[in-house]
Amino acid sequence: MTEAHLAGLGMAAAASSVLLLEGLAPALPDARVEAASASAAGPDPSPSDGAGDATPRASAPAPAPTHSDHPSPVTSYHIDARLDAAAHTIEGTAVITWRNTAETPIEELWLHQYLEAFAHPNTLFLREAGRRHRQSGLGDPGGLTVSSLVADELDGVDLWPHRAPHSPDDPADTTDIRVPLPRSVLPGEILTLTASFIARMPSLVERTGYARGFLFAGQWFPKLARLEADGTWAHFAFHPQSEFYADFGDYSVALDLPKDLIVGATGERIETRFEEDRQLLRYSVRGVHDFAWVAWDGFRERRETLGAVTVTLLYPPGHRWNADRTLAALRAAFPRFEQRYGPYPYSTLTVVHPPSFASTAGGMEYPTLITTGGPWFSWAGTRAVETVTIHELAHQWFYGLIASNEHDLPLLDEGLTSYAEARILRESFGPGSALAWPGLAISAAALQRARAATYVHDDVVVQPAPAFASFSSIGGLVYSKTAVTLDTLALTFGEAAVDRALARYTHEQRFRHPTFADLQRSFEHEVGEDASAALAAALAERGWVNYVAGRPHCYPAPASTAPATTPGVSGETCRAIVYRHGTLRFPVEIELRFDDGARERQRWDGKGPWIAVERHGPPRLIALQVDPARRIPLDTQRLDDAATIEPCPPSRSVERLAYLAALALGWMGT
Amino acid sequence: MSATTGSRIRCAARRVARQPAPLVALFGFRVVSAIAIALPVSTVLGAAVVGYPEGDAVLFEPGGELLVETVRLHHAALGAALGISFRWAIVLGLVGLVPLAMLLEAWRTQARLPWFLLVGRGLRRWPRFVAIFGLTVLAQSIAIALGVAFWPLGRSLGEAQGEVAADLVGCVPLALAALGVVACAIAADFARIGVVIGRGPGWASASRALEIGSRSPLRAASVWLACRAASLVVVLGGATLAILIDVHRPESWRLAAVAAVHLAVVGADVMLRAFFLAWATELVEDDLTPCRRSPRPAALRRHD
Repeated sequence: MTEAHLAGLGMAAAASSVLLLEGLAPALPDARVEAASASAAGPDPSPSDGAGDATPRASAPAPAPTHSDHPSPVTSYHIDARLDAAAHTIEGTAVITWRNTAETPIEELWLHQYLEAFAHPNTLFLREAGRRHRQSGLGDPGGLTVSSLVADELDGVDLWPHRAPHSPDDPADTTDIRVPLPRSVLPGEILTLTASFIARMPSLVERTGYARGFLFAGQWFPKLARLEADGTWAHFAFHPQSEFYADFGDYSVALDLPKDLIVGATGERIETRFEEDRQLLRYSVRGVHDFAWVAWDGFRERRETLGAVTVTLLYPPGHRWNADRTLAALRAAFPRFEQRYGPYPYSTLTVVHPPSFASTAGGMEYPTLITTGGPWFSWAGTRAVETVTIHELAHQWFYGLIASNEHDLPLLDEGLTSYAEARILRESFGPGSALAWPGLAISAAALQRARAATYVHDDVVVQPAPAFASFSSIGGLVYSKTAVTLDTLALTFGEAAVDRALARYTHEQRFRHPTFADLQRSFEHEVGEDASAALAAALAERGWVNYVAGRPHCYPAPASTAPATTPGVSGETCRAIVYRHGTLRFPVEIELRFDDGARERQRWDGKGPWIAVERHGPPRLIALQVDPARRIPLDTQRLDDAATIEPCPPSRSVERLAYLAALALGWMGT
Repeated sequence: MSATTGSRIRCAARRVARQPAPLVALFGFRVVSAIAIALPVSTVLGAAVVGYPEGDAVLFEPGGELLVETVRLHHAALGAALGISFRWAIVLGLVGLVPLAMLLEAWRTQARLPWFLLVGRGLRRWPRFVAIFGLTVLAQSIAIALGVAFWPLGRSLGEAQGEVAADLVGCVPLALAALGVVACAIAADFARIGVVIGRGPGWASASRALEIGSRSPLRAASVWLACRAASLVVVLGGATLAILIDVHRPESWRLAAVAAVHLAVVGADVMLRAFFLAWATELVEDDLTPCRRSPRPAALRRHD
C-alpha cells in the first residue's frame, strides 16, 4: 500500500467518522433525559423501529476511528515463498519482527504450526474432528517443517533445536511449540527472527490445501502466538472447533508461482514480474494479523470499487449469476458495516468463490480476503450465496479489525458476526431472507431462533471453542444464541441503543484484542445495566426465558365487583395467568382478546415469575397472547405464547395439505 | 398436428363430456382421499398452535417463525403423522383405481350405465389394475435407480469441461430416468385401457394396447406432456391466486376462496387426465375394434 493511497484513505475515513459521530451526538443529551424515566419504569417493551430507542445510560462517545489509525506493529512478517505446484509444497523464509509488548521480561516464545494439524491422523485436530463429527477424513497429509529459527538480537543462535518436541501434554501434536530463549527479552525490546520453512499443503481440509490445480494457502507459515499484556502467551494446540489468534503487524509477502495461476491474497499487490514460466508477486498490507492466498488457473475475475476499496472477485467459470449476487450482497452490506462498525481501513478486499471440487475452502475469513461458496445454479429462492458473503464480510470487523481470541472466546467473532449478518439479511430481504418460494417465505431469523432454542440449555456461550460438546453446539450457541440475544436486546431496549453499544465496542476495540467484559461494558454504557446484565446472564450463565400464557377461566362475577352491564346479561370475571420461566427477565407485552373482537395490550415488566390478568365482562376475555409483536426471540418456546378458550380447527392446514395430496394422487395415476 | 390427430382430440373431448358422472366420481374420490391423507399431519399442526386464537393461520405468516417452531418442537409427531399419511396415500391410491376403471368402463358404451353395474365392473378390473400399478412402480423405481447410479458417471464425463458441464452432463442420466418414468406412466395407461376395452383373453389385450401405443410413442408422449403441462399451468395459476388471497390473514372468506381455487385446480387436473385417457382410448379402439361406433370419418382413419 502506498503512502499516497493511505493518505487518501485517511481523509475518507475521517469523513465517515464525522458522519458517524453526527449520528451519535444528538442522541446523547436526550438519552440522559430518558435515563431517568427508564430507570423508574424499565425499558419500553415496544420501541419504535430504532427512532425512539430508550438509552438508559450514556457517556462520551468512543474515539473516532480513522484510516490512519493503523496500529503500531507488534508482529510483522516479511516472507519470501516459492510454490512447487507439482509437489504441493511452499518453501519460504519468514523474517518476523516481534516486539515485547508485555510489562515483564519474556523467557520463551510460542510458535503455532497450524499446518502440522494435518501431518498424520493422530494429531489433536484429526482425533477430535473424528470424535466430534466435523471433519474426519484426511487425504494426502500436509505439514510444516521449520528448519531454523534465528534471532539477530540473540547472537544469531538457532533457537529451533532447543524447542519443545511437541504441543504441551500431547506427544502426538506439534501445532503449538514452545521455544525457550537464551536470555530474557525486556519489555519494549524487538526481536528479528528468521525462520526457514517448508509447508507441505495437504489435500484440501478445513479450508487449507489443494484440490486438483486449486490451492488455498491458509495458516501456511510459522506464526508467533500472541503475548498478552501480563506476559502470558495466548497459545493453544489447533483444535477442530477453534480458529486463530495473533497480533497485528505489517505483512510483506513475495510469492514465486507458476505463470498460469491466477492469484488472490491478503493485502495489495504492489509488484508483478514474470520470469519465463514463473510469476513473482509481492503483496503488502499494514495492520493485519494473518495472511492467506489462493491460486487456480481456472478463476474468472471481476473488479469493483466500493468507496475507496477495490473489490476483486475470483470465481469459477459458469458462476456469473453467483458473482452478480455476491457483488450485490457486498454493495448492500459494506457501507452499512462501515457506518455501524467503523471504516474499513484497507485498500483491497478479495472475495473468492471456490470451484465445486474445492468447496471445502468456502466460508472462511482472513484479513482482506474472504471465501464464499455454493453451486453454480444455487438453489432457487434461497439466499445461501448472499448469507455466506455477508457473514464473511462481517468478519472483516469482528475478527479482522477487532481481533478477539477466536480460540478462547468464539462468541466475539462468530456471534457478533452472526448478528451483523442477520441484520443485513433482514433489512435486505425481509421475511424471505432464508427462503423465498411462492407462498412460503422463511426468514433467517426464524431459523436462527430455532437453532438457538434447541441448544439453549446445553452450555454457556462465554467459553473456549474446544469446551463445546460438538460443532453443532457451537453453531446453536455461539452463532445463533449470541445473535438472538443481541436481537432480543435490540427489540427490547431499542435497535439504535444496541447499535450505539456495538459502535462503541468496535471503535474502542479497533485493532485491539477485546474480552467479553469489554463488550459488556459497551452495553452498560450505551444501553444500560439491565441490558448488560441480561447479556451476561444469557451468554455467560446459560440464561433462558420462556413466557407461557395460561388459558383464561371465567366465572360469574361477584355482585360487588361486576361492572354495570347490559340489562339481562350477567357479568363474568375472566382470569388468566402469564408465567415467566427461566432466568432472564425482559419486559413484555400481553395482548388480551375479547369475544366482541376487541383487543387490548398491557405491559408487564417481566420481573416476577408470573402475573395474573383479570377482566370483568362483558365482553368476555377469550384469549391472550404474550409478546404478540415477537420482540423476545430468546423466548425458547413460541407455541405456548398464546392461549384461548375458543380454539380454531386446523382448517388452513387441512385445506392446503389436502390440495397437495389431491395433486399427488393425480401423479400416482388415479 | 395432422387432421387425424385433431379429429381424435375432438373425439376424446366428446368422450370426456359424454360421461360426466364417473368423472365427478373420480374427482370426488380424489378430494375425499386427499382430505383423509391430509388429516393426520394437519391434526398435529393444529394441535401445536391450538393456543393461538387465529388457529393454524399463524403457520402461514411471512417469515415462518411459528412454522419453523412447530417443526422443531413436533418433528417426531409430524414424522409419525407423515408416515400414516404416506400409507394412507398408498392404500387410497390403490382404491382409487376402482373409480378409474369405472370411468374407462363407462366409456365403452354410449349409454349411461347404472351405478351398481359400473361399480361391479370397476371392481372386476381392479386386480389387474393393481398389478399394472405394481409393475409400473417397479419399472419406474428401476429407471430412477439407474438414473441415480449413472449420475456420477455423467458428471465425471463432463468434468473436463468445467463444473457447469459436469452438472449438466450428470443430469443426462437423470433426465433419461425421468423420461423412463413418464414412459412407464403412459404405458400403464395404455395397458389399463387395453384391459378394459380389449376382448382378448387374459393380458393379451393389455399387451395389444401397449403395442398400439408403442407404434406412435412420440404422439402419445406429446399428448401426455401437453396434458401435464396444461395441468402445471393451472397449478401455477392457482398458486398465484392463493398467494394473492393470502390465507395468513384472519378472514374466513380467504380460506373459502383459496379452497375454491384449489378445488378448481384439482378439477382441471382430473379433466386433463381424463382427456389423455380418452385420447388413448380412441387410439386403442381404432385398432382393436375396427367396427366401433366412432364419430370420425372412415377416410380419416386411413391416415393413421
